[in-house]
Amino acid sequence: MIIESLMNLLLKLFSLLTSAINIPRLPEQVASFMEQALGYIQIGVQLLACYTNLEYLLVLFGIIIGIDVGIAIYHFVMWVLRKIPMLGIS
Amino acid sequence: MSKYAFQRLCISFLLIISIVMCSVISAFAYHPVIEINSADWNIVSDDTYSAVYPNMIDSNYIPNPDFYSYSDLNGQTYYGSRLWDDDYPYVDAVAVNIPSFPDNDSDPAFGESIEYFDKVVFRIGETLYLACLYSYEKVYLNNQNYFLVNVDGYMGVVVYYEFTYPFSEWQFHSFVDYYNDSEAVDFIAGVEAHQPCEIVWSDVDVYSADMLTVLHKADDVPFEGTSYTLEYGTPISVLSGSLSFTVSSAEVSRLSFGSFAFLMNDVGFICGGDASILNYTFILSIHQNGELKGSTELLTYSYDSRIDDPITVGNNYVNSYFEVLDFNSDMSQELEFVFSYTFVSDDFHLYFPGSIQLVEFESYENDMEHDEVMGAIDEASAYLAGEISSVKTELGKEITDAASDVVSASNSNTQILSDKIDASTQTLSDKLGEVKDGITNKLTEVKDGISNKLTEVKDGISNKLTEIKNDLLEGIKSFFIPSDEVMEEIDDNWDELLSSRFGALYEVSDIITEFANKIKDTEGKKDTITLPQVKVKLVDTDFVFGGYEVKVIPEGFDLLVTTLKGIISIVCTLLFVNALRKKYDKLVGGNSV
Repeated sequence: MIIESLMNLLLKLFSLLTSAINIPRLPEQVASFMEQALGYIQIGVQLLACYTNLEYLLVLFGIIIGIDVGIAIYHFVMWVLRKIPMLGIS
Repeated sequence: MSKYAFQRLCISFLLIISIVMCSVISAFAYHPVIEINSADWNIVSDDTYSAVYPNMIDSNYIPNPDFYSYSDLNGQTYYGSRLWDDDYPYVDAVAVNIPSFPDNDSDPAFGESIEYFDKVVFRIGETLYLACLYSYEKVYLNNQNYFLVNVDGYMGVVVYYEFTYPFSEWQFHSFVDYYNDSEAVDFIAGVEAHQPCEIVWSDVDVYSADMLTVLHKADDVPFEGTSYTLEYGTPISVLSGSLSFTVSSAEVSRLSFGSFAFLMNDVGFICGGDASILNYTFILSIHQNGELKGSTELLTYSYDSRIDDPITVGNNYVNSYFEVLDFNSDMSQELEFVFSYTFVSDDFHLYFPGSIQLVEFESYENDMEHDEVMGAIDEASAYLAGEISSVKTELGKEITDAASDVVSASNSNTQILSDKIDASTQTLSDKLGEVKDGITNKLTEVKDGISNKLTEVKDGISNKLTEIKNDLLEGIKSFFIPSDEVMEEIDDNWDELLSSRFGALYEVSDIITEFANKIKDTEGKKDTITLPQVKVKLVDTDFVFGGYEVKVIPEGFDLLVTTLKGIISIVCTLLFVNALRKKYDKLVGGNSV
C-alpha cells in the first residue's frame, strides 16, 4: 500500500512536472510503416536464423551491447565526478 | 314200703348215683384238647407217626426229674411240677397235643374264622392254653410248622417241629444252629395270667420226637406286678371298685406274622412273619366311680417284629405320668405309671409292676374307708384344686401357646422384615449401582463431549489464529508490497502518462520492444520464413500476395546447414573476441573505439 501510494504520488508528481510537455504521437502512416518495416526485418531475421545459431549470436551481441552501455555509464559517471572540484579528478 | 321198695330205692339210688357219676364222668370226660388227626400231620413214615402219637410224652426228657406227671380223664398224660409251686423252677410241663395243622396261610393270630385258633394245645393245671398250629416251614419257608399259643388273652409261641423223626441232620441243625446252641430249643410259650412270673420257657427235645412244653418260672423276674387286659373303652377295676382304667385307642395296627420266626432263649417273643413294625397309640385314662379323673398323653407303642432286633419285655415299658388330683390331696398329686403291655388280637394287656401308683391307691383307699367325710372334703378340695389346677393348666397352656404364637409370629415377622430389608437393601444397592453406572457413563460422555468441544475450540482458535496471522502477514506484506494487479495498474498508468506526455519519443521504446519481441519469436522457426503480405489494388480489385510460410532449407541439406551454422558461429566468435579486445584497448589504452 505504501509503495502503491508512493508510486501514485510519483505518478501524480511526474504528471504535474511534465504537464507542460506534450509531444505528439507518431502519425499513423509512420507507425504503419514502422510496423511493416519491422515485419520485413523479422523475416530477415528468420532467414538469418535458418543458417546461423541465432541464440548464440544474440548472446554475443548482448554482451557487446552491455559492454558499450557500461562504458557509456562509466564515462557519464566520470564526467559527473570531474565536475566536483573537491574530488580532484581530472 | 313194699319188699321191692328198698330194691327200687336202691336202684333209684344207684341210678341217681350212676347219673351223677355219669355226669361227673362226663364232666371230667370233657376236655377241649382236640384229637390229633394223623392225616393232618405231615408224617414222613409210619414209624414216625407211631412214635409221636399218642405217646408223645417221654418223661426221660423232662429236664427236671422232680416233675410229676398226671393224666386227665381221657387218659392224656401230663408231666409237670405242682402248679403255683414256687419251690420248683418249672411251673408246669405239658405234653403238647397237636391238633390238626391249619391249612391257611393267613395269620392265625388274627384270623377271624380260623378254626384252629381256639384249639387247645396244652394246659397248665386248669388253665387252657389255646394254640393254633403253624408249620415249621411257615417259620422258615412260609409254610406251616409252628404254632402260636393263645393263652386266655395272652400270647405265647410254641415252636413245633415237623415230625420227620428221625430228623435229618440238615433239618435239625439248620434250625438249632440258627436259634440255639443247645439241642433243645428254648422259647417263650406264653404268659401265665395274673401271676408274677411271666417268663415261661418251653423246651422241645427234638430227639424225643415229642414236643414238650415247659413253662418256666424264672428266678429273676424282671417285672413284678399285675397284668390287666384292657379293652378299648371298657373300664377295668384296679385294686378298688372305685378306680378303673380305660384305654382309648387312636390308632392300632395289627401285628403281622409271616414268613419267619425268631426263637429266643431269653425273654422275648417268638413271632413269625414278615418284618413288620407295629405302631399303635393309645391313651390311658383313670376313673374314679366312673368319672374321668385324668388321662395320659397320647402314648405310642412301637413294636418291631424283625427278628434281628426283637422287642424285649423291657422295651414294652411305657413311662407316663398322671395328674390325679382328687385321689388323695395329702399325697403326691402326680402318680407315675409304669406299665408294659403286650398285644394280642385287639386287646391291650397292661402290666403294672407294682410301682408307686399301687401303693398310693391302697393308701388312698384306706383313707377313704376310715374317714368318708374327710374323704368327701378332700375329694371336694381336690376337685376344686383340680379345677383350679385345670384352669391354671389351661391358662398356662393358653399363655404358653399364645406366647409361642407371638414368638412364632415375631420370628416370622422378623424374618419377613429381615428378608424385606435384605431385598430392599439388595434392590437399593442394585439401584445405586445403576445410578452410579449411569452417572459414571454420563460423566464420561460429558467429559468426552467437553474434551471434543475443547479440541474443536482449540483447533478453531488455532486455525483462526493461523488465519489471522496469515491475514496479518498478508496485510503487512500487502502494506509494503503491492499486488500484481496494482503493479499492472501502476504500469498502465505510467504508460498512459508517458505516452500522453512524450508521444512519439515514448513510442520509440515501444518500437524497439516490439522489434525485440519479433526477434524473440523468430528463434523457434529454424527452417521456414513467413513471406510478408503484399496487397495490390487493380481496377477496384484487391490482390493479396504472401502471408504464408515458405520452407527455406530443402530436404537433405541438414548436414550442410549444420556445418554452415558451425562455421558462422566460429566466425562470429572470432569477431566477438576481436571486439572485446578493441574495447579493452580503448578502456586501457585510451584509444577511441
